Amino acid sequence: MSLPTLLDLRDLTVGGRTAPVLDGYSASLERGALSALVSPDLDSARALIDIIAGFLRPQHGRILLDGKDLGLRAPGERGVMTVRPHLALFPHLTVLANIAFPLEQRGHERDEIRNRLDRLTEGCGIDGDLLPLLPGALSAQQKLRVALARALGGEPEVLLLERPLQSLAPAARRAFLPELKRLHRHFGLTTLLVTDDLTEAMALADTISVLVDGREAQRGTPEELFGRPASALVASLAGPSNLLPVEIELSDHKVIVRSPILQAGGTEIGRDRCHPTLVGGRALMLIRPETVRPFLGIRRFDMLADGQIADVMPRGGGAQIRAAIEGFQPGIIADIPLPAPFPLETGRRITLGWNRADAFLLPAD
Amino acid sequence: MPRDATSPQILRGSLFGLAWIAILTQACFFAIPLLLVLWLSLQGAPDQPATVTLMAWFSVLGSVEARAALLNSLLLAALTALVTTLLAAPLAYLIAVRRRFLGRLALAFVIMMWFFDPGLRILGWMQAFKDLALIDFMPMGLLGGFSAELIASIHAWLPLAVLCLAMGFERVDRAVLDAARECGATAFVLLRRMLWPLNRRLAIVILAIVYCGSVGSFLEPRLLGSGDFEQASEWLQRALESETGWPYAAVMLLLMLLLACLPLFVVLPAWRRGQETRP
Repeated sequence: MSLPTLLDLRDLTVGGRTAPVLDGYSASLERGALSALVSPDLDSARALIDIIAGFLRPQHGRILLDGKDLGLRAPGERGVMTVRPHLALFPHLTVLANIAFPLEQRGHERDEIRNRLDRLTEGCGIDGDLLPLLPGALSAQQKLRVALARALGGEPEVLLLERPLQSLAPAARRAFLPELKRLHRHFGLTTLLVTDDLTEAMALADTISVLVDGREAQRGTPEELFGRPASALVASLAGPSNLLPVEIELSDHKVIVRSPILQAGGTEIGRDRCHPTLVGGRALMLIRPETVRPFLGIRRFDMLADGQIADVMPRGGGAQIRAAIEGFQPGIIADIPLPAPFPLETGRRITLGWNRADAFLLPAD
Repeated sequence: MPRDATSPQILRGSLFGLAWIAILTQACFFAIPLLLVLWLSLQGAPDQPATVTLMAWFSVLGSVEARAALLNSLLLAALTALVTTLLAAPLAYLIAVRRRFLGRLALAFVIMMWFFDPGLRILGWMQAFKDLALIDFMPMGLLGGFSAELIASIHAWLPLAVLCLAMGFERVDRAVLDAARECGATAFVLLRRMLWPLNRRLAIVILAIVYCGSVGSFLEPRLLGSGDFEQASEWLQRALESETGWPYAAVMLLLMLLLACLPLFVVLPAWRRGQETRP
């Protein structure tokens, strides 16, 4: 059952120096949902956040919040609060004053402010000892909690998170993802996460919209974006991916894939593993590194490619190798669990295999 | 151990090298004239030029007129500094934060204020309003008294204060101001709770600069007439015009310098406190 729409973005357009930053972007956010917008172009992402928050006027388009046009309403009167990449805490105010600031501006009584402060600090996991400190004395994670508490203190209908984990170290980012999800559940706010990291968005959001060149390139669930990306760019945003150039022939229920890289002359793939816009001819075959395995003559694979190990990068419990393939300069990346069945040495001949169910065909351009 | 070319020691060394230029300049333009004035202030009567005496000091400090003139200058300088800095803040806000039409208008207004010499401006006003027979009306009715000097002094220092504050406001992270606006802060709240505290040290420096500059205010009293409120500079002029008054003038100059240096005792501790509490 779909939830009612709270925020409706219609045909937003913002010009840039050379190309439009936003080119007729439309989207809607369901009430209480955590959605994400992923854009490799940070200007587009920032422009969208600024438009929703009221800091930038679009050249064209409308924003409706609960059916009401936000129009030229001032930032403080839109029912929207933002957490920016560098958090923008008030450096001269204590943690307590930072969180209380939006409550004071909204004219709450002192007792009411105190009650709300208690709820916010507890909900956001802010230790009471931190309240008299200045933001400069906090760790990056504590600052993020304060920024979230301050934003929630503004009692927004929509919470915008612009690359909120930017200030954290990579390990801390991964650790904070479940915390963001918990906060969303705890406060139940309609939230839009804007980021350039699709993996981060996939970990958090129920629905993701990918923005490329100011336009929506794809919208879908994390599974759809990962397994059935609309383009090579969307596929690459989700992490390392192999995009092999192939020739395809389409029939009613199947697709024949041919490539000089592959051992077999032609391999059949189901139509469901094929992007709907494909009509035949040149295409790209997407294979995720974690589905590629070395062929040892025992297990059967639907597709095989011969190559030579060019790079080995140990990664936790496994290693990522890149096999140089003749006629395919980028080579094929594969995640090999350790211990490997053979020494992973540069220059060693290797045959890599994968199954048709793990492949997805994309338009070549 | 070889030192890194970018190590702080090397940087400190080169800065100290540059400091010699400032020290020499100060010696030529400040220390030597100061010694000369100090020597003059210790001179006795004209018929005993080689005698070193504190007679001029006792005479000036004992004079009711001289003390009143010093107090008037002190009051004028303090009020000018305070009012100028307070008036500068909203104009600086318009220039630095509201960068569009209002900001440009405010900047044009400030530049125009600074475009002409303050003396020329005051003379221009007097000429214009005299011919229009407006001189008796407010605000020109304020002429010929302390208030006229205060207004003229503020008028002369305001552009400097506005531009200095605007520069400070410009440096405040826009994201912080946007966050405050998103929280519902009005322009007044932004100025009072964000821009002003974040530029507290700059405001103190501006206060000090305007104060020091206005202590020796000379042009405004001369042009506008200070009425019953004689300023130290006017007293100084009278002493200099008298053949025997140079030691007294030297004493008054040194007292004015001490008054001008007063804010240092306020500014430096405030500056240090600012450094300690800097996030």
